[in-house]
Amino acid sequence: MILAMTLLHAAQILQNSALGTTIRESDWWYALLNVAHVLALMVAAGSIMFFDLRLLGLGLRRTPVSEAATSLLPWTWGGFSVMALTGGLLITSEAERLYFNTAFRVKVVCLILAGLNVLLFHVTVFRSVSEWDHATVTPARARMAGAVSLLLWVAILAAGRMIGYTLDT
Amino acid sequence: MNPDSPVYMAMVAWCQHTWVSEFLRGATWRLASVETAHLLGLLVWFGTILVVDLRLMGWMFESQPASEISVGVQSFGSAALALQAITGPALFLATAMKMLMSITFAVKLTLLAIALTYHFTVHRRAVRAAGGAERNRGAAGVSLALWVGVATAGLWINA
Repeated sequence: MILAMTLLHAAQILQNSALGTTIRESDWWYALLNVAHVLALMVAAGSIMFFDLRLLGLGLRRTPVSEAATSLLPWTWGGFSVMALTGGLLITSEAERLYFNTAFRVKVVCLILAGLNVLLFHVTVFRSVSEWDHATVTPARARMAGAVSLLLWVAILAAGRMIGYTLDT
Repeated sequence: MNPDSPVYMAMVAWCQHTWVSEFLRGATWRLASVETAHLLGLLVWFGTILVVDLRLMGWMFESQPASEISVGVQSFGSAALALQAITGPALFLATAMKMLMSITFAVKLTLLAIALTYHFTVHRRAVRAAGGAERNRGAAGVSLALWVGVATAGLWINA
């Protein structure tokens, strides 16, 4: 309860800040950030998608898993950094309204779950990747991580799009 | 297009009377779902472009030829393109009133025509010819620029 109050209060401060107000009141900044945010999503999700598909044995089957990781994941992180930056600025401009928005809440939960999935994958099954680097059928935990990641990214995309439909007043 | 012209009004009326348009405009969630599917298709298609072109640039998968990477992702690209071929025209019919007036939409379609033509001619030949560790930064750069342009124009329509 206290946490919720604090969060809401923080959202109000963000939204009323000079930065938040500038972005909200400028058609240009808002549109530009929006487009940059989705373009960054395409780089982040477009690269992690093929890593997930490799884990599932559905795509890039002839590529060793470790090479798929070193090739693709830096682009995922690069795209994700721009997503976080543009997303952070977009949140600032609408923080209070987003706080009450269900699609936004769903999206935040999915992002946290996607992060935990990556963390779990890297500290567990990925450590032994040298043993299954060339396998088309990867260990069950790796396939699970790939499938969960794909599902969460589709959910993040859908929830993100829904914000645009439900935030309009 | 000038919204006062009879041609514009006739075209909008025709589009809006198709069953696809009437169905999609019948409920917000229907239009939202098709838009999300269109965005997902863009994401998958762009992903396939990204990995092949970044390989052609020499920035990833250096132990594999670009032609092989292209084969590895091809089925996803085809599926995404098929999805766009269905959801794109459906969205156009549902939002014809806006699209026929939008300069951004005209720019997007023009860029799309150029990008698709380039993709299935020059780019395809460049990818197939790229065996071993070969690069082709020219073809990769043009392809990436064109598709980023298509995506940006498309996103700008509703930004």
